[in-house]
Amino acid sequence: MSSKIVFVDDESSVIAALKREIKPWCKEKGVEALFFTSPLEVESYITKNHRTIALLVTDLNMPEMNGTELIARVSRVDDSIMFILLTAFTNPEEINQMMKSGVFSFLLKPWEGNYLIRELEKALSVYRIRRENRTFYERMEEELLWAGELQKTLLKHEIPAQPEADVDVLYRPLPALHCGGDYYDVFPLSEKGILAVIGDVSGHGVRGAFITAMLKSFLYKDFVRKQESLQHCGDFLTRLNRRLSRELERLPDIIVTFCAVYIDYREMVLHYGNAGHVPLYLLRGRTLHRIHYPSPALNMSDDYRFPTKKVRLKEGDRIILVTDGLAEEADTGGLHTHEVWQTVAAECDKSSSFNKCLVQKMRERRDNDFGDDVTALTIKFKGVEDG
Amino acid sequence: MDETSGYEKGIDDCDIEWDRNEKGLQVRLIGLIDTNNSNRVKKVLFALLDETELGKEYVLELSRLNYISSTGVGLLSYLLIESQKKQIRLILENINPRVRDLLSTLGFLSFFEGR
Repeated sequence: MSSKIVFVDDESSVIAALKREIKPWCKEKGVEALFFTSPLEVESYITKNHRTIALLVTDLNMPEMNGTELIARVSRVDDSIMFILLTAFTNPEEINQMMKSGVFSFLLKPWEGNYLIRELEKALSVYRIRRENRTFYERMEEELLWAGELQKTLLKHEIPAQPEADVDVLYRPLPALHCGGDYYDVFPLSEKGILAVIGDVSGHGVRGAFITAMLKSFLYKDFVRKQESLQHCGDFLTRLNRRLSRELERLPDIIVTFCAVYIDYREMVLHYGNAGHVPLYLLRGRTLHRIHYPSPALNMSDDYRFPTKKVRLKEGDRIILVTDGLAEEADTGGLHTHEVWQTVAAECDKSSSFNKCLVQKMRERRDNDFGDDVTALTIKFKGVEDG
Repeated sequence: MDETSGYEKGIDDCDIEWDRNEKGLQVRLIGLIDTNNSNRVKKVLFALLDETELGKEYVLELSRLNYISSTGVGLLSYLLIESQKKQIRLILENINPRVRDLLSTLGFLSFFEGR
């Protein structure tokens, strides 16, 4: 689509001079120029045809409307249009105001012919770069939206109801990127128990989403379905780490924090394995317990052996798994303290949706900006019926 | 970048200073490392590693590094792997207490030599 230049000056002699000066240049460059003496007509024309307009060259002082007002109105219609002001005045304060209002350049009357052409060429060049950037950005946005939709289909949203446990999950990627590096999955294993995993790929956006898609592709098939004793969460992570280290051999700067919990319904025991992930919390009544051991993330050390920790469960216990987007404090950059977690968890336990309440309370503590993907996976253990 | 000392000011919240001495290199990271600046920080740190001789020290002074995201930790992990290949000792020095707590909780510190 060719880009037009619109000229406006209330003095017809100025318009005539402009036409004479730029006609050969316009012909040479294939640029279409339009000339007006009325700023109101310009505003109306640009409103209807703004997609074809690259540059507006306008006089400053016009009886119908001054140039800066015209520029402000046109900017609201299309902020990609460039502006050059024609003026006879050299008041520095006024010039300062013009530049602050988004004017690309100004020309003093009477202008020098070559200078005018050079300014027009510069403005058109900047316009073209801006349009290319905008097109590129819109394409990227489309790709990210698509990636986000694909990731939504891969990550489960509704977990089938279990008699022994209520499972709830809430996932929010970074809004601007639509997809992210948080990963979660839940594997109900008939009446025996449930395996839940949560992970966080370093970085955001498409890169993280790609790794989560890779995890999804082999986690159940190669690790969950084949493993006989899933309560050994540490072994699960050890084998997963070896596999991921092979898959990510060419990407050593990508690490994946990961946590796996297996709830054995009959034994009423929680088995826990951790690979560099933020702590798990267990809310029992009104008391919050922190379950954690330090360990490297996946893909940091391919031969690391992860241990398994066991915790006895009681009916009514709520297991809380989150990613670091929820766990990190805004001010210090460290993790939220146990006191913060205790307060928030106790408040949200009364809420109809624990996860929504948790995310809301933590967001408030960060001035409503997480700055990261956020996942909350909670499991309320209801106990096992006798018999 | 083959100078005795240097400074790279970032507009993305991480400034990098460095000095060479007979023991090797000291690099000071000032600000934070997250997804927004990790690519640039990575380029600078790896360029400095490339110019460090076999057997020397590569010290990361972190007293003024206030925050590091998982992307930043991944970057340090990669730096460690590459420094080990080149037989260069990567040392984390004066880690800011907030960052130290986070790295310790998440089990990363055990992999790094510290001072």
